[in-house]
Amino acid sequence: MTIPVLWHPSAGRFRILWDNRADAATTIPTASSEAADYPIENIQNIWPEYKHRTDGLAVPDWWKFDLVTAQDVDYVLLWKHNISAGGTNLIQGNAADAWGAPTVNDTPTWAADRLVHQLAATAHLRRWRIASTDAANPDGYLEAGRVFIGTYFEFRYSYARKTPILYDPSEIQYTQGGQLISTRRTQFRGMRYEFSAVDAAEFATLAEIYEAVGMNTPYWIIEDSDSPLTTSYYVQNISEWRFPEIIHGYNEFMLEVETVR
Amino acid sequence: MAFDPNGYNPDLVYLLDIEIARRLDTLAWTQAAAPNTACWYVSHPEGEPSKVEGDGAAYTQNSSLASCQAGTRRWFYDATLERLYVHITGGGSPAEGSPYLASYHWVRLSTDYETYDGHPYRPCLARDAIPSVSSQMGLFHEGGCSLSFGSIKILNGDGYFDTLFDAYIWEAKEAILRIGEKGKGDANYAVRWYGWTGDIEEWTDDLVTISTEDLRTNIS
Repeated sequence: MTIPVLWHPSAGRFRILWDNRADAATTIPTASSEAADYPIENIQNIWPEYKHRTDGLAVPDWWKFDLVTAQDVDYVLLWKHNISAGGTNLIQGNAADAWGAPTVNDTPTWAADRLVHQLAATAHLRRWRIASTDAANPDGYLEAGRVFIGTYFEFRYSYARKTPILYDPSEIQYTQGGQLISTRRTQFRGMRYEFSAVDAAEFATLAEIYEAVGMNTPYWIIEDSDSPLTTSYYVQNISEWRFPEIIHGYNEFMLEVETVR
Repeated sequence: MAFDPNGYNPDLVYLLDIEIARRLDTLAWTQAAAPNTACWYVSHPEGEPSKVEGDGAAYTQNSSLASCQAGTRRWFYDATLERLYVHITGGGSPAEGSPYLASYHWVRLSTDYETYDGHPYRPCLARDAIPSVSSQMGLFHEGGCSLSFGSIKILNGDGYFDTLFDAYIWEAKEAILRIGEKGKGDANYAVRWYGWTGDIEEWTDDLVTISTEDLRTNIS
């Protein structure tokens, strides 16, 4: 029997980057330098604006992650960075802590506030480094809020429907006469994605992902794997994951998230 | 732009600074190399202290190890090695000399991401964490009034403060609360309350509650 599947006509796939080796308790992060009050440990904090900052500019500056053992890696992300468009950036992976001729030595595509780089093939390596030479950076230092190093989950089909949501958490009160008095808060965004036919294998992996992230751990999504720089988001779940059954072995799935602030 | 409490719809951020203490005289000290052998050091990863006190009186900060060696009741912080050097009366080890020795540094907490005076603030105060301030005058008013400030609630769901409360002294420490509008610069922030922390009333997996006291109650 053929199951009718609705999906977004983009050629790319929807991906979830959730198992972050950079955040593992055993991972040892280091940096080329640390400014006072901006330690490298901040980069493992889930808050993207609570950043690590270098103490000036070096050639190159770098963030380095020792995963202690070799791990599979498909993606390396640098999130909320201030590297300028003129910077020269490298994503590097190697078995040893030597960076003259590393096994992986890729040049990622730059975008303001993010580097989202997929390796040509899965690499199984212990040490990873994001290096940047940005001598003309107007801030006089480099900083970054989050790093992702790891693999991804990909749906067989992209989402069927997306609903962007705009949130305003301002506190609203009314006088007896109906006049509005509000305390303004910073607005943020959310998204709801509907997938039309999740099969048994996808369900099993999604259950594993939810067990890891639940409602308490942010993760990254890439809406369209062909346009990762413009369709990637750092998000957290705002509702439980439910899988209404269509027929035996196939389920609908709705993913409702908000951007992490 | 100056903070305008009557401005339309301000997006207010609260900044809370607490100058917590670390007791030092119980640590294992190492003697500095010759010729500065009257100075002893410990690792001090918290960074440069805001002050160092011995038996409740401030030691003098010095800009070099040699100048720390030159007189007693002095301290010097080596930022490169993250070492705090202290020269106590008599020039011996602080552990043996037994002054009550403490270093202080500020922890900076806020209700949202913010930077003030070049320092980042950790966003861990809940929206309802800041209590109201009230002032009272007694029946016989003599020119002052008593400021009352409730308890401060710090979110601890990630366990961040478990280590800090175990390692540092939080009670009876200076605290400053500033209020201002997000992202409008240092000049926008005004001190709303300046006092002392009181007791730690509650310390759980989710929340830490610290009482406060009027600054004048601890000034002789």
